[in-house]
Amino acid sequence: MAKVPDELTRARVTGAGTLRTEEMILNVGPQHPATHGVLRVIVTLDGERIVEGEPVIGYMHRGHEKLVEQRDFRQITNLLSRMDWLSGINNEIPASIAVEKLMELEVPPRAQYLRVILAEINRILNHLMFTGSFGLELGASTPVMYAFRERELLQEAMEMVTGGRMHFGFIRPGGLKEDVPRGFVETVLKGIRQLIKYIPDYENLLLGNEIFKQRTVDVGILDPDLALEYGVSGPILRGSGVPYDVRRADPYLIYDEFDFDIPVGAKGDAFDRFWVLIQEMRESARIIEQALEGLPAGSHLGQVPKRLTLPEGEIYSRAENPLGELGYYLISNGEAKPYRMKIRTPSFSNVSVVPHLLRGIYVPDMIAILGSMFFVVGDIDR
Amino acid sequence: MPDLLHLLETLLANPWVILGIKLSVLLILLPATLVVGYVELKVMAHIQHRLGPMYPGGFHGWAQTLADGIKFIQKEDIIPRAADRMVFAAVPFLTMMGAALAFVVIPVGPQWIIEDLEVGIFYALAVSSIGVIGVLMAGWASANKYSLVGALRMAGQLIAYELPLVLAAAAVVMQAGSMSMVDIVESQRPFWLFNWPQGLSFVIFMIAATAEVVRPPFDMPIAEAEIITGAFTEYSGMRFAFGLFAAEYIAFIALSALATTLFLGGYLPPIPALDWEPLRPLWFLLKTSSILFVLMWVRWTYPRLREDQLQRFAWKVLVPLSLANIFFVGALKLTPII
Amino acid sequence: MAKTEIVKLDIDQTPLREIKKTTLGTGLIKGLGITMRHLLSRSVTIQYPDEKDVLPARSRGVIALKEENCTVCMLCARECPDWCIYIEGHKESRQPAQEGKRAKKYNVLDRFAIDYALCMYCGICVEVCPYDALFWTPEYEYAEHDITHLTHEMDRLSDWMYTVLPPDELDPAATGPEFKTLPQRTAPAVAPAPAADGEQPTAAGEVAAPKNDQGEPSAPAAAPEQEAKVTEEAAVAIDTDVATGEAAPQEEAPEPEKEAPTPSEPQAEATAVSEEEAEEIGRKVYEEEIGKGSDPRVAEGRRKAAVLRARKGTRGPGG
Repeated sequence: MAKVPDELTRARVTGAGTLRTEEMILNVGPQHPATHGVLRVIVTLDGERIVEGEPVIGYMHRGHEKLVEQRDFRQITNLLSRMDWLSGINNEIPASIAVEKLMELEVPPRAQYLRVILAEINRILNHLMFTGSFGLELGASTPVMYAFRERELLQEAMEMVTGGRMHFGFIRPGGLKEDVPRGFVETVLKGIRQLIKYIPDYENLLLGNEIFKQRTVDVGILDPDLALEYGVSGPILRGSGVPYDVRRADPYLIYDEFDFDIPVGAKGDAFDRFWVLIQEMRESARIIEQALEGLPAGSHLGQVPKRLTLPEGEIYSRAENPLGELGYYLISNGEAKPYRMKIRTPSFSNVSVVPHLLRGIYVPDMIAILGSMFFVVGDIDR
Repeated sequence: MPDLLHLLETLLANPWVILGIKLSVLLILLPATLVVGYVELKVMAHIQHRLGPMYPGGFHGWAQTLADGIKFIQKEDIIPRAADRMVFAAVPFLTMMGAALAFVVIPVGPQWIIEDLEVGIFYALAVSSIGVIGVLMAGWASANKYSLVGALRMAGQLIAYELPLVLAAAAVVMQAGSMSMVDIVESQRPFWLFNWPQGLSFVIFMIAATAEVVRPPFDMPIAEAEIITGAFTEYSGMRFAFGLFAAEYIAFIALSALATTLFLGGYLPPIPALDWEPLRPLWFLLKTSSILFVLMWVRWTYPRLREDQLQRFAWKVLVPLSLANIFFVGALKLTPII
Repeated sequence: MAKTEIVKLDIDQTPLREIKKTTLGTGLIKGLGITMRHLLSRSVTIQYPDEKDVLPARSRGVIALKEENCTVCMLCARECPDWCIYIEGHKESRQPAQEGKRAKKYNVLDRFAIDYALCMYCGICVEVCPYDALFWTPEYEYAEHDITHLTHEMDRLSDWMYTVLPPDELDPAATGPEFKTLPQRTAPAVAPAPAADGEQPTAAGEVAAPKNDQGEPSAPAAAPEQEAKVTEEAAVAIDTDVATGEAAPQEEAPEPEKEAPTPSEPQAEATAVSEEEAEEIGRKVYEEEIGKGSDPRVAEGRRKAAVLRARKGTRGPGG
């Protein structure tokens, strides 16, 4: 019951002539418990139905693209993790890959494997966060606590390696900053096993719940053509049935060596997107297990010159961020600092399709749709 | 000494004194709210795999709700400038009174009831609807269009779920043959546990009761994303503590106590052999607590139903079901089974 | 707009279709079962501040300064992305060793402050310091009411040194970073041979001390430690601009390390003591320090250092 034809939204009341209903403009303001961060949606309401919804972004613009023009790559790596703070390492990887491709640096295999492991751990962390918060927005306050419990073990693994729990600053052009300590493999395996044990809980508590299904099935159906037009990517695109994943389409790191499936939804409603999110966690766990088994001995950093002066040139490197396709277009004019770095973030494109989804729906559905669009405001605004 | 006893006797024979004593029993409702609030916090915490309040009062934070109450008392009393002051201030009285008055007819023993009205259950259900007026008054007097929308939603929900509630209770009255609460309890002797004809009524009553108290999964009017707390957005401090928080818990306890009386045998023991006079309040307490627990358990497991889904569920599912249930119980009544 | 061709894949959509089917309330019952199961199991909460989690050695809590090592080269202040390190120093002259030689100038550190209100805890300063004057420590309890107190001056930064943990052992399969001038070392194929190691529970080796003071030293770790040690040595010898494999360990470590990388026998069993005795020594040191009137954090740091030294059987500065 998501869309009702416009004729039915205005009523003719007998004995009172035609009621003139006024449209009310509601500001789902930048400070709001339901939107993840400072996203403002200006909603035009007609009674209970939304006539038009317009997201206003920019409340968190920090000028990343300008900041990186003044810094060298070690500093840039640390700044870039602050864009999409839930994805951690995945923000840093395409930047390093860009530099490595420009300078033709070789990355030792151990570093590649470790990068894949860290990236997939961060993917799981990100997806767990969204699993929890989506349930919370719909009123189920327990899955979020379970999700954070799962996150703890994996964050422990990340802290053991990098020293941080959210912003890592660990990827360097040529490999990693340091090698992993003893006990890392066991901690990660423990975290993965606990995750696999508890994923059926999320499926039963959320996906299998009839009330949840009533709230999300056939809500916010995203047409795959529309999605491709707007450049939507990631689990949202895959929820609409388009099997596009940068790890398959344009493999970076060593993803072509691993065996994993890409979960794809059928209809494009909020339920499908959420289902894709949970299945992706399973696939990431598979990749991590394979990577841990095949982890070679070796060095963590390749042969990297003392000063990283980039040759002149430009390159676009992209990766599959947990939220979608993250791309860095790097233009260098021969110095250590980039001349220009254009950042293509997934959340920006994902949110730009929201006005189409908000037409003609109820207000509580807006909350469900915004929750299912999986965006991080830092990623939209940079 | 004999003078003192004589004085006591004359006092206790006075009907006004007896009425005063009986009504003061209602004062136990406020501490009961604190206890139920604390239990809810602990149950929520353990369901979410964490600990809950641990500090206030020392031992597992038993004084948490008490500390919250004290915090509410010292808050500033804000009434919006455009609000209708008299109506705004009168709302907490209505919401609390409506819930508390139902306790007049709840029996904790055959003689341990404030007043065994002949129309006991009718009175209890009628009086618990007073809260709806309170909500509408709050929405209107707040001079806030979002409060108004929230109040209308809440009123709509309460009215919609009143019907299945009453119809489920009607099935019980049909079986018991009387509206007096004590009679209903006594009619469930001796095996209230196997009261199978009322099974469906019980389920309908519980669902309707959850919606009447506006608890998840039916809490769209208050936990709305656009309207935080809906009709009661402008209420702060003690008005909020009494008008929404305490009133909600009192109504919660009242409806659970009603359910116990109607379906679980009130103060009757699980097996007839344990029927000892002083133990009766204990059975009552245990049964009410288990219903409270189940409703809390349900609250922390399910997400919220959307308002129109709520209404659809009430009108298209619960009402026909409860009508069918009445038909079924009526048919059974004609046979020698019950 | 042309309709996009959605490539038909052999992806099995049955799990999705199965779970999407309308069920009649079984999902609700299962949900209740899950929450009941959690209700009856033990909570996972750690009750801070009564119980505290043990953080790994690399945890980025706060940065500590080792004054003696700082040569005021300003690299950390330059590399900091937020420019939150404030350094002031001046040059002084040293008497020439011989007559007629030029007086040698050296830097003296006047002020070294890190503004933790600006710091983004990236660790570039720690990584880039060529003289190992900055270290990470897992301490995180330094919140202040006044934001100006968040600028830690030299004395406070030096105090943090007592809380620095020795770095964790590396994964056995790790070798150092690739250097052009060194022959590449390979990871040990077999577990360490020297049987002597297994019989010495306290000779934990020089570099890879246990994870925290209460952890057991791991015995069969000599060979990988050797490898890590070798690359450490090499790393220290080589150009220090390039990022090294791990943070440098504490001051005692370089001395035993500079000896030949043989199994740890000739080292320290002479003065290495058992766990309980080490703890006892630590307790005595703590009481001594408190008696002298030191700050409890300083006393704690010295206690930890004494315990470690006793366990390893090395001598501290000044014996």
